[in-house]
Amino acid sequence: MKPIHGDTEGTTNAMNTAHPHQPRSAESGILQDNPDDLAHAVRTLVVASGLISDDEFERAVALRVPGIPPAAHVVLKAWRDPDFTARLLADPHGACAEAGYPVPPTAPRVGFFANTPGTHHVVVCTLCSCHSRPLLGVPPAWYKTHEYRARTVREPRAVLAEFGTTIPEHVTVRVHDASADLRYLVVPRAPADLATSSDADLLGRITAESLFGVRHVEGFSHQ
Amino acid sequence: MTAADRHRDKPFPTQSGEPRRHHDVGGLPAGPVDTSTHDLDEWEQRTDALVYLLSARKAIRVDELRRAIESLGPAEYADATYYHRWLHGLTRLLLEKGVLTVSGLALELARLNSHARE
Amino acid sequence: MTTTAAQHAIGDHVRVRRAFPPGHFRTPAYVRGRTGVIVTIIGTFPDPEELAYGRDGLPGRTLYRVRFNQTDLWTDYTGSRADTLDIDLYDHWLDAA
Repeated sequence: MKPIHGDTEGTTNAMNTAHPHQPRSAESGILQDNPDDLAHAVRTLVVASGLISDDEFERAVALRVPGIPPAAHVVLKAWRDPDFTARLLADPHGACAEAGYPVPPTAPRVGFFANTPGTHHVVVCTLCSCHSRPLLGVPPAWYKTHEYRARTVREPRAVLAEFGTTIPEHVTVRVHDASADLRYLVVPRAPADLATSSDADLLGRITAESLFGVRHVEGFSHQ
Repeated sequence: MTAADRHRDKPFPTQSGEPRRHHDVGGLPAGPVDTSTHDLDEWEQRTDALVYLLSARKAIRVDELRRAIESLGPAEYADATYYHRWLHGLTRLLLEKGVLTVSGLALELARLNSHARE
Repeated sequence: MTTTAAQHAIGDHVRVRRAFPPGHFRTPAYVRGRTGVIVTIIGTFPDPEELAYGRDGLPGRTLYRVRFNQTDLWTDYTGSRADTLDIDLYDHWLDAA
């Protein structure tokens, strides 16, 4: 658990007086509860309410581990089949279903942007940290940081450089702020050895970074 | 700039002078991006799973959770990690909806606390 | 879903309203007051400003993808003059420019 260091505005003592039973004296108001305990308590009470079962909860927790993002399979199919790429851009939900990775009807709608020799796309959510959970899984920590959310809209090329990604001046950078009801993903450029590489090898290179547009896949370079 | 410094400058002016609330950070000056990745802690996985399942059940809506998170105070928003915001936003929302009650939550937390001391 | 008719067409120039109402909304400060171009009419969605408070969000709102030149958003933009920012905005935040 990460400790929360809070309140530097002199309200700490008043808060302790108000909540003498709370041992974590240095923490700001609503963050005073141990998140382990609060997460357990909310889980227990939500299960008791009948909204979800203990079994499905434990199954969902077990899925929250890093792995190959489902969208990687969609991108690989797009690399192998230009007609599929066209369908993916025009009808992303139909194409994802066709690839075997349907977006559930309860999940937010998705859209794809394909990088080309002249255009590089990068995705951010400045107001929160929106992303497509069914296609990306748990997003990387950096996607949720203040720094990424604040700076990507204003100085995308500098942010990309911090990921080791240099975009040549002649390539247009298009930033997409996922501010509303759609969740966006990038189809990165295929690596030079696409034709000679196995699916397993390629899937391992289609990282979350490449799907948000902050890194090229290994084996790609601008000519 | 530390998280604690950021909320002292509110309301953040943009170049056009538009006011903003603390969750609206696009274009603000900030330091380098920490590009490293790390796995979720257990309580973060549990929080994530709860939000996912309750959203799929339509027991909560993403717009409601966003609104609940935005209603954290600026200092709390700045100090909280992403999953702290989710956990506290979710808790508020479930209290509003009557899925949780204040007393029920207090009892459950006290029960966990007494187990931890045994 | 009951909806309101789309007010803008692809290619239209629009200015984002300079409003700062109390409550939940999805129009960030950095685009308010700025002029962009409609590039896509995404569709109709329940109004998030209503959904946020547990209501049904009907009638739905038209959601547009609006493209801004980065050099129109930031006077100190250092990248290519061709660089853009796309953001999705609802019809009631957009006026014809």
